[in-house]
Amino acid sequence: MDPIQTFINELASLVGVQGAFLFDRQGAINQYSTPMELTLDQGVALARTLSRSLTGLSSLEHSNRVDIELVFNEGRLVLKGLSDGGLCILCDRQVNYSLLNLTLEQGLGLLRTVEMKADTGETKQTLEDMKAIVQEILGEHSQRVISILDNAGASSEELMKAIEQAEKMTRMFIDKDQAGRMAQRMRELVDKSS
Amino acid sequence: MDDYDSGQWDALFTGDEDSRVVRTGESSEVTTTVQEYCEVPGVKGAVQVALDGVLQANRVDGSPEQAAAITAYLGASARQVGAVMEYKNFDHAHLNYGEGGDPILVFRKGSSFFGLLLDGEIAASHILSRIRGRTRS
Repeated sequence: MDPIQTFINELASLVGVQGAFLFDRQGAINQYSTPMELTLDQGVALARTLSRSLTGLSSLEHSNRVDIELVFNEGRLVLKGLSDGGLCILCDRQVNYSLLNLTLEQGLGLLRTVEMKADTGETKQTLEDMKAIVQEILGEHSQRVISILDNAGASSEELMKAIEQAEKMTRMFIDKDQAGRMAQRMRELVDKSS
Repeated sequence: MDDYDSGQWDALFTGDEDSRVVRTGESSEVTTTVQEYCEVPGVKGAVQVALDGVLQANRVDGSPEQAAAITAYLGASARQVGAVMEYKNFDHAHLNYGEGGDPILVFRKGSSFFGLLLDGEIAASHILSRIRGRTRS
């Protein structure tokens, strides 16, 4: 069985956990535990709501990783943000939180590793495309900017920081118009890929 | 969908009729409730936000608007989730940013949401118990 599905089922089998599911940024449920104690309509509406909440809260703090717990007298929702969506666990209010966390930590490691592998592949391509833009606009002066990009991290935030740095450097030492044009195209590229 | 003022949302604590606006030496306006919450160990700052998101009072170093926005957003999310799940009684919400940023504990009292910025060293559940004990006593 798929290790992620195994992890979700394992979560759902814990005492006090009613179910768990993975959803993407568009609010579509990708994988879920069976049996799921939610109707289809509830599941779809919940995933959409949670996805909107995660996106909103991530943008408020400019952070990809948001963990939320919503506690009601009737139950508890534990939400773990992932780079392209999140994991939702529906629990009783008095769930054994330590046991849940232990299981979560192991499984989240797996989920984030899978994500990181996917991200790294995409980031490499984005970086190559960014370098092509720099080369096209700056020509023989491109080397210093490319070295800034080579040292950038893999996340969108880190790429955006590198673009800012490259823009400043180009504006100061090469050309203001070229700096603006180059930065704008690179930002569009990163936005598109994130 | 339930409305905040429909009576189905339980106020967590006693009403806020005893909250008085007090002036500090600085220009920010705080209520006695916000001030009291800030005195609880583990709480770095607090905001009081109306249900429509308007910042009513704060005692925050840095940007109170940011904390208020997060508090209001989390309150609204809880409302929507509650409606979907048919959960009528919101207790509290806890938000944690993995890459820095203060954890925030959000709960409703009367006609406001309160957002407490935590230092992360004391569990949110302990802080909540402490506040409840303090308010109810």
